[in-house]
Amino acid sequence: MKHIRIYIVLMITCLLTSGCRFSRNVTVSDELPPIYPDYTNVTIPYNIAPLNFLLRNKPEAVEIRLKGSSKELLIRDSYKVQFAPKTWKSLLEAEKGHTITVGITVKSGKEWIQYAPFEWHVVADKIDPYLSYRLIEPGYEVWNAIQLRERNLENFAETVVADNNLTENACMNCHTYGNQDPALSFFHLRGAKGGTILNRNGQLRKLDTKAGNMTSSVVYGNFHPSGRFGVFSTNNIIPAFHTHRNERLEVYDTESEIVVIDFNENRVIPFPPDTVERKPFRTFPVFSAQGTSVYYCEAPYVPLPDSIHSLMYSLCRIDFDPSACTFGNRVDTLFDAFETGKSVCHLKTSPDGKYIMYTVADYGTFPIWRRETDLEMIDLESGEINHLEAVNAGCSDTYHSWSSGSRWFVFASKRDDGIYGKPYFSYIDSLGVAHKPFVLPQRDPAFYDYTLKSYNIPELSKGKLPFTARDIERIYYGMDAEKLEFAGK
Amino acid sequence: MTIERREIWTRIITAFVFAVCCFSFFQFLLPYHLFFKEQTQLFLLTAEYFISYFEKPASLAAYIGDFLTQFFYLRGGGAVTITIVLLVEWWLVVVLLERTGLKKKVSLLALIPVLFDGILHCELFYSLSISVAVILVLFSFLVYTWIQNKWRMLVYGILILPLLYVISGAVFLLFPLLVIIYEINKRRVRPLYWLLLTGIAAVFPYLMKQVYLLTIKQAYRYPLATLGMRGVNFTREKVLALSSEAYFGNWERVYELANEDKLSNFVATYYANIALSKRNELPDKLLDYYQPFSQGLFLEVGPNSNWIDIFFSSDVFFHLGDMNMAQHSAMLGKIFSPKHRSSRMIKRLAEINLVNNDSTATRKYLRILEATWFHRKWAVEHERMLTGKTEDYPWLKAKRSQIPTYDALRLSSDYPAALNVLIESNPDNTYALDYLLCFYLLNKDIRSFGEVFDKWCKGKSYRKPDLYYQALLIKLVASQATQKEVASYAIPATMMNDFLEYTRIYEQSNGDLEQLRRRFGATYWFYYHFARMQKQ
Repeated sequence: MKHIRIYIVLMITCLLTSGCRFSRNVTVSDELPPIYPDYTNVTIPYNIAPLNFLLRNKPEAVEIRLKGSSKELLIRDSYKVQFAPKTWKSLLEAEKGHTITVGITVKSGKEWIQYAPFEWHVVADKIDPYLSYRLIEPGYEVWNAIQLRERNLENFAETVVADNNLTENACMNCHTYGNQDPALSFFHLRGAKGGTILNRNGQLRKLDTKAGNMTSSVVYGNFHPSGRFGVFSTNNIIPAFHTHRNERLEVYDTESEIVVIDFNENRVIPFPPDTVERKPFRTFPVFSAQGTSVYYCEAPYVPLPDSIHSLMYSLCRIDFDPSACTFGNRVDTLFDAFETGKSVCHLKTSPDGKYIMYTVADYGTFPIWRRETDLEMIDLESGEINHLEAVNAGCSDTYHSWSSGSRWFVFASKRDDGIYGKPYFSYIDSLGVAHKPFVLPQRDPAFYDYTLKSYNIPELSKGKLPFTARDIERIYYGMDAEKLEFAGK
Repeated sequence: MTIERREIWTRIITAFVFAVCCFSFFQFLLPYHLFFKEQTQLFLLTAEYFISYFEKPASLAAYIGDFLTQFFYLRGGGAVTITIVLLVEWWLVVVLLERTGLKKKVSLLALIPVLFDGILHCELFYSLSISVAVILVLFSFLVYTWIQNKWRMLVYGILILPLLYVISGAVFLLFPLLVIIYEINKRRVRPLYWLLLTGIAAVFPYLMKQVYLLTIKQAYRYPLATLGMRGVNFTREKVLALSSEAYFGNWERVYELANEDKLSNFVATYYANIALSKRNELPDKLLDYYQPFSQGLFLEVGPNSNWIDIFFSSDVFFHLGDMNMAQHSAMLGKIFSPKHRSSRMIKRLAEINLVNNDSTATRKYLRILEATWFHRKWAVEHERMLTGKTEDYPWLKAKRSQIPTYDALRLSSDYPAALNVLIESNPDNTYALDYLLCFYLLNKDIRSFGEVFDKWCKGKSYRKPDLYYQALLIKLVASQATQKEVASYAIPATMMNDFLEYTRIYEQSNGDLEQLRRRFGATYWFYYHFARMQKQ
C-alpha cells in the first residue's frame, strides 16, 4: 500500500512537471526557425530517413507540430529533434503526394516563441534507397584514411564497402554504378596490387586498364547501358595551389583522352585520331541513355598552368556503335564554352534520356574548390539549358548522380562551410523544375558539425552492393589484374 | 612495529616516492612530449564521439585514455595524470600479488611492471589508453581472483575475455596469462580450461578483425600502433619544446630555447628561423645556426616525410601570410597525425579561415572546439573576433594585410613562387622578402638572389644586412662586374676589405677550412665554399 502511494505521488509529479513544457503565452515570430540542417520548405521522397534537425539557438524545450492532409503529430523534444523511425515512416507513407506543415515553438528563458511554419512536400516518386560515397579528409592532393561507404537512405544504416586500411593505404577512387544497378559498378583501387575493380552481378574482377600508349590508367568513366562497355578518360593530372584566399586547389590535366573498354573482350577502343596539331583535352565521358553516343568535355590545348584561366571545356557528343565497337566521325557541340563563357565538367545523363546534367565554372576542369561552381542541365530534346537556380548555392555544387527514376538526383555541395562536401538531394518534377535540395539526414543532427570527412562523389543505387570491404581486401592481395588489349595504334 | 604495519608504511613510502619521481620526471624532463600528445588528439564531449570509439577494439580504454589525455593541455596536468594512472596500476598489481600469497616486498615488486609502463610513456606513439587497458585487465583479473567457485571462475573467464578485447583491445592477452600463473601458484591445474582460454584469446582478435576492419597485425596490437622501446629522447624533447612554445605563441621563448640549445636538427632550425624572422633578424643571425640548406626554412611535405614534420609545416606559411599553403599543411598535419584529428591543427585551421574572413569555415572549426573542455574558451574568444572589428585585434589586422591580393597557381613545393606572390602583393612583407633571399642564399643560387635583391632592395630603404652584402660580392665577382656596378650597391668599405682578406687566405691556404673558420666561420663566403648537405 505504501509503495502504491509513492507511485501515485511520483506519477502526479511527472504529469505536473511535463505539463510545464506545454507552450503557453506564446510570442509569434514571422521568422523561420534557426534549424540545422536547413530542411525548411524542401521536397522529400516518401522513403527518406527521418529529417532530424537541431535548433541553433539551443532552446530549453521544443514543440513540433507536423500537420499533414490526414495525420497530425505533436512532438516534444530537446533542441535536437530526432523522430522515432516508425512514426516518421508511417507519417510519410500517409502523406505521400501531400504537404506536411511543420510548426515549431520553442521555450527560450521564460517565454515561448512560435516560429513561422515551413513545409515538407512529400512526393510519391521514390528515391533509389542506397547511396555510396567516398569518405575522405579534404586534404586536396594526398590521402591517409579512405573508405567507400554505402548508406541506406530509408534509415541510418551504413556499411563500409572498401577500406584502404586493408589495402596498404592505397588510394581508392569513387564508386560508379551502371544504370544505378548494384550488380554493375566499378571503382579504381590504386597501389602496387591495385586495378579497376569491376562488379558485374556480384562477380568481382580486377583490371589493369593501362594498355598501349595510353596516358594513364583510366580515371573518370561511366557504363554503357548494356554493361558490356565502359567509357573512360585517361588523364595526366596535376594538382596546383591558388595563392588567393579561399580558392584552394586547382587540378588540371596536361594530357587527357577518351577510350572505351569492352569488358567482355578485355579490349581498349581508342577515340578517333585528331587532325589538329595540338591534341585537345578530352575528359568526363558518359554514354547516352540509349548507348548510341558518348558525351564528353573537350577543350582546345592551352599551355598550363600559365593559361589556366583560358582553359575552357565544351560539352560535345560523338556517336558510338556498340555492335561494331566503333566511334562515329562527327562531333557535335551541345554547349560551347567560348560562347557561354563557362567551362563544363562532370557529365551525367538522366536514365530516361531526357537530360544531361553537368557542372559549370568560370574555367578549368576540376573546380570542386571554387565557389562559382554550379550545376546545370540541358534538355536533350529542346537544347534548353536549365540553370537550376533552386538547387545551386554560393559554394561548390558538383558531382551529381541520378536516381534510376530520373526524378531525383544527388550532388556534393560545400555550401555549409566551403570545405567539407555533403550529399544533397533534389527533386525534378514532371515539368523539369528542380526543387530546393536537402542534405542527407543523420541520426544525430549535429553530425555534420563535428565530422572532419568530406563526402566525395555520392552515387545512388537501387539496391545494396553485393561485396564487402573484406572482398576488396581479398581481391587486392589475391588476384592478378587482367591485362587489356589496345585496339588502336 | 608489527609486520603488517611495517608493510603499510613501506607501501605509503613507496607510493609517495614513486609519485614524486614520476611527477618530477614527466614535469621537468619531458613536459613537451605530453603537451604534444594532447595536441595530436581532439577529444569531444559529444555522444556521437563516444559511440565512434566502438568502431575499433579497446573502446573503453581508448575513450578513458583520451579523456585523461585532455588534461595534458594544462601545465603540470600531464605529469599529474600519468602519475595517478600509474599509481592506480601499481596499487592493482600490489593487490594481485597479495592474492597470489606474496607478503614481503610486494610494493617494490609491483613497481617493476609499472616502471616499464611508465618508461613507455616517453614514446610519442604510446598513449594513456594502453595504461588504462592494462588497468581494466588487471581489475577484471582481480574480480576473477575473488570468485571462490571453480566453475564460476571458468564461466567468468570465458565470458570476460571477449568483453575485455572489446573494451581494452590487445592488452586482453594478459588475462589468460595471469589466470594460468595464478592457478599454477594456487596449485589448481586445469590444462583444458587454460587451453580454452588461450584458444579464445588467440582466435578472437582474428574473428573480430572482420568487424573492426583491421589487418591481422592491427587486430593483435590495437591500440598499440607500433612495438619497440627507444628510450627517452631528450633531443626530441627540445624540438617539441620549440614547437609547443611556438603553438602557445611564446616566440621569445622559442628564440631563447633555440639559442640555448643550438641543435643540429632541421626542425629546430626551422623554428629558430621563424623566431629570428619574427624579430626581423633572420638574415643577421641566419648563419649562427645549423642551416641544412633550405630545409630549415620550409619543412618538406612529401611521401617520405615524417608525420611530425608535416604536422609542424604550416607554422612558417602562417607566419609569412601564405594562408592557402598554411591551410594545406595544417590539413595534412591533421590527416597524418596518428588519430587523424588534432586540437592544434583545428585551431590553426580556424585561425587561417578567420584571417581569410571566411566566417562559415571558421565557425565549422570553432564549433568543434566548443565541444571540448580545454579549447572552448579559445573558441569563444575567436568567435568574438569573427563578429568584431579587425582593428580591435592587431594580430588579425597584421595577418590580413599579408594576404596575397592576386591569384596565381603554384606547386606545393614551389616556395619561391609563393614568396614572390606575397612580396608582389605586399612589398612591406619583409618576412617574405627575407625568406626568399635566404632561400636562394642557402641553396647557393646567387643569380636568383641577385635578381630578387635588385628588384626589391637595391636603391631602396630596405635594411641590408651583412649577409646580403657578402652574397652580393660573390655575385659581382662571378659576373665580373664593372666598378660602377659595384659602386651602385654601396657596399661598406670594411666589407670589401674583409672579402679581399677572405679571398687572400682562401687562395694562400688552398681553400683550407680551418684557417678560414676562425675569422670567417659566420660569413656567407664560408658557407658558400664549405657547406655540404650530408645524406641522412
